[in-house]
Amino acid sequence: MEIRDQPYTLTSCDFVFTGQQILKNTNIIIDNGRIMEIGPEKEGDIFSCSGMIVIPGLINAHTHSGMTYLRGYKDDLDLIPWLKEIWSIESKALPHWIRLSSEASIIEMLSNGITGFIDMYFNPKDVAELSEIYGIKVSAGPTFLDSLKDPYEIDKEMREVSTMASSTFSPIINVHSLYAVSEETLKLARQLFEELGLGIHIHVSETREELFQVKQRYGIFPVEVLKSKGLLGPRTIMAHLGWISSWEIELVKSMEAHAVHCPTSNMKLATGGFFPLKEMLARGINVALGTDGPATNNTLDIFREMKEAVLLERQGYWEASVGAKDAIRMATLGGRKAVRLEGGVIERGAPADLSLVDMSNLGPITESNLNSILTYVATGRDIDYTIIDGKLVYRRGLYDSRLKQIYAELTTIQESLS
Amino acid sequence: MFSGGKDSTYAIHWAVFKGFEVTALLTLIPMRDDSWMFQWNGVNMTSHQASAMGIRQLMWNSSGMKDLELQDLMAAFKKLREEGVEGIVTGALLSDYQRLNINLIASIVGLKVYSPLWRKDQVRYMHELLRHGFRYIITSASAYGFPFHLVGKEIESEVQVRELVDAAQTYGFNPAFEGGEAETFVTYAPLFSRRLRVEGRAIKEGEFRWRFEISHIH
Repeated sequence: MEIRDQPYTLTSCDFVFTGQQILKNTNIIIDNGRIMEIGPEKEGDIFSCSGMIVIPGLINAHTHSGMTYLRGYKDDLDLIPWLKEIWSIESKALPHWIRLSSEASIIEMLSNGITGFIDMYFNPKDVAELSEIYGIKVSAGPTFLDSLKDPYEIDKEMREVSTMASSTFSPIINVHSLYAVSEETLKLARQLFEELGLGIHIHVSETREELFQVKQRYGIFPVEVLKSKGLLGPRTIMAHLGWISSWEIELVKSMEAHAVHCPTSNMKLATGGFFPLKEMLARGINVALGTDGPATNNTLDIFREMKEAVLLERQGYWEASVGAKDAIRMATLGGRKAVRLEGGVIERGAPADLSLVDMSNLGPITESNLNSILTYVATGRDIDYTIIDGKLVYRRGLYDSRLKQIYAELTTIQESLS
Repeated sequence: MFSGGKDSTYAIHWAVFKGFEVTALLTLIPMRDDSWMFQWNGVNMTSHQASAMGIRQLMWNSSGMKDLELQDLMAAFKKLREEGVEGIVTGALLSDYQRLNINLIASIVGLKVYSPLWRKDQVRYMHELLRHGFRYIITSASAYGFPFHLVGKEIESEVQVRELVDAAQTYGFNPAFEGGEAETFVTYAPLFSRRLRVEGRAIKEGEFRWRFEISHIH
């Protein structure tokens, strides 16, 4: 179904979770990429959503799409030794490998109901092109990482990428981390941050080692460094934050910066911190969810992150105050707020970015347990359709043959690494 | 790390029941009563608790002066690392000064750090301590609104815990005393082979400052 210039209706949706409330047996009229009406009315073509739950489109707020070729490679190491292995491969990776990887990631994310993502890797131009081809919304840019690329080249590339904004692509400044770049590089990043008015996306306080290195170099902790360098503000998106101090949480709040929680990746890499989820939510800090890359998770499924975020919080803090509703909000609205993307709710006038969940393998579903089912039972495999800006960009099986082809190529690539 | 207070004792309890082999209790003895890092009151009496738990104790002197005491901690960690210790368990609840400094030093020495009580709900924790069988006395208190009549008393009932928590909520001090509002000395925990009987006297040191001086432990 390729409908964009005329209205159509998702009819008989068993459940619609609007972000605020749950509606039963209702229709959603979509026109020109936006939600025009929710209720009994119908208009234009009919698309039956019987047996489905419609939710606001999911956002993956932190990933490295170009790393699929490294999925499973040298797994089961702590972060620092793992990074050493990975960086040595990445320094000689061919552009073709990375583009294929991003394409696989995008297909996987669409098939998991993800309507947009924030990407940190080295192929933003590929990602911009792929976002147009597949219709997914992306924030991406080249990544400052001094050991891999001259920061002045990244600066130049960032300026080029900053002109590529489109309906699906928005440029963002990526800084790998404070420990992987020099003070000089931070100055370049700040100049871009001020000059281009773009967001900045960075790994922060991910490990204890990072804390130590940053404290040694700057005498203060990572979030404090960002503040002191003029890089902390409403356009700052910080991934991980497992080792943030309590006074830095206050800084995040007062500077209106955004946090991205990546629970599976943190557990997999044994980073050992405590992401202060309850504390951040209580302070009204915007928290989004991220899968991290296909090599650190290793799936790109935000449903799983919703579940892990809640479970990890409960395991770590011995209480159940953070729950399913928080998880869904982080997975939908949280990511959009981070990149200043409209939507995240199903209401009149909002962009029609929707994830359609097949209920066949989920049950029993009631109005009162719907959030729980979505958080603790559903996975990306329950997605039947993904709609972005009113376009049906994914239906189950649509890219199966293409993905099979890509996986075959990535297998050959990974086999050549060892 | 073991100060003899409720938090470090609970952390040891957690470690044992998590399956860790707890090989030593590291007790830092500050030479001043205003240490930023370590409990001062009652630490000289902690050998009774170590003996009741049957765990070897390593007593380590510290200057108690900010920054210098971190060097003392480093030396103690190095000694333990040389003995083959792989990790440190702390009772840190909410103090990043403690938690992060311990981690930075442990990171240099190559020790992992576990802080099982970190950012736990403090009111719930105070009730759970009692329900899980922990008994302790308040050995010092210095917060406006603190129920000072409890100084030197063994906390062994819900009524007492409620009184502490209510006062904390009314007067705005931390319900688990993380801000140093009070210090405690554990008299019984599930890992103790016997209950300690503590003798001493409560001393009023100021309008809002009381201390319990332990004279003898049976």
